[in-house]
Amino acid sequence: MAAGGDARDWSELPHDALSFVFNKLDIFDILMGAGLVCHSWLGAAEEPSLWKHLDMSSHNNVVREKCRSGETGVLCAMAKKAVDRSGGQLEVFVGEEFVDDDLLKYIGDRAPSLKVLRLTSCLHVLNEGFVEAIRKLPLLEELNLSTCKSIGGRATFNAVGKACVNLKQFILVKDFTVYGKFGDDEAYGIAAMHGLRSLKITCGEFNNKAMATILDRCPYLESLDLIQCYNVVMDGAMRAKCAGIKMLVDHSYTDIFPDGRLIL
Amino acid sequence: MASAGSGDEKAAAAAMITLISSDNEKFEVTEATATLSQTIRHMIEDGCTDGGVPLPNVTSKILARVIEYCKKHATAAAGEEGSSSSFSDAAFLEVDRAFLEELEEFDDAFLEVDRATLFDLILAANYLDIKGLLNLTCQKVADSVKGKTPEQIREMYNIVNDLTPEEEAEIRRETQWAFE
Repeated sequence: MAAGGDARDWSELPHDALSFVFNKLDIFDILMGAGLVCHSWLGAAEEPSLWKHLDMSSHNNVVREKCRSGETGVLCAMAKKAVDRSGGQLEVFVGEEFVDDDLLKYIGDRAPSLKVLRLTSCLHVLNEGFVEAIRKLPLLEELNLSTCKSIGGRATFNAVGKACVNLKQFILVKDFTVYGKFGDDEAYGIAAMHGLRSLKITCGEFNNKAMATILDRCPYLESLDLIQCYNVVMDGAMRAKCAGIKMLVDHSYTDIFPDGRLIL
Repeated sequence: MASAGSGDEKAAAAAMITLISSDNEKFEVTEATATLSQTIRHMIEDGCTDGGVPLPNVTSKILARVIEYCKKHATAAAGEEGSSSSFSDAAFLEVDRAFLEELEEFDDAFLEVDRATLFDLILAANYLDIKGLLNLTCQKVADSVKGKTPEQIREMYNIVNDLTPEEEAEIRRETQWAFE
């Protein structure tokens, strides 16, 4: 591997081959390294098709480090740059706690093709900003809100249902610390997501009546996971309603709540 | 490896194609090997391979390596096809896994080349349109630049920074994170 014997000019690698290389790198490798090497590599890094999937989850070391050191502004700036480069072709955005209202608005304004939005622990995204962005994402097919403690409630989910008519999968992971914060009528908002095929809720506060409304209004539902939704009791009527749906109902704490929660 | 043998026999009965390198060396390969290259596949389909296929962009040194790769991968593909009919499912899976492991070992050994050869292999894979080889070689480049700064990459690959001062200034303004 003697560099001295290498007379090849790597800046002259064909554009197609360079695109192949860049496709195998994550956004941080491109934005902080390979994409800044020279003119032709910069050109390859600006290819919009490279930027369709933007995964900024904390599986990535850079995200973890920057979050830990409080440099969330840098992550937002990089996300915006990536959104710019996608040239409107962004299809998947996965973000964690660094995401704020401003970034989500930026995505809403520039990513009309977004199909998948996964947000985890985004405490700085508030209902108002979330709804404003979601209204501009009509092609959304999958929405995942995991422990985003400032997003929730009937009106918010109702707005999602209205704006995103293609929505097929909704995952809502809450915890007991937000119990009561958004009211127990969230399920009526979720029921507005008529096209849902798959629904997974953790720590939902709603009861059987509300759950029945979801089942009535979302006729295409194929799969339903209810985890720690202790107010839903799997009685005969509920079982009958769920006939034909692939279902998982978490049964932990059955010693405390012996009347329902069964794995079906 | 009975199945690999039967693959070879099958291939041997197939038509042969002559590939001619830029330095005029001739390589005779089976059609199954040659058609891993989409570029050559199209030439065969268009019936313009009589008298050999001239490859003015590929030296004999690189063409020999490319053929080595294609032979191995064509044999593996043929072996898998052949084995599916003559083994039980469990045995087939076993053979399948053995093939994959063997291929992986081959690929790893194949990539033990200097940077100049790697560069030439990428050019050849790109020109001949051999997806697997392009994928393999580009993965090696990608792995080598992961987590590196622009300056480290320039050093590693002898790349001159030809960004204009204006471009550089703009990059620095827009992507200040890379320089912090």
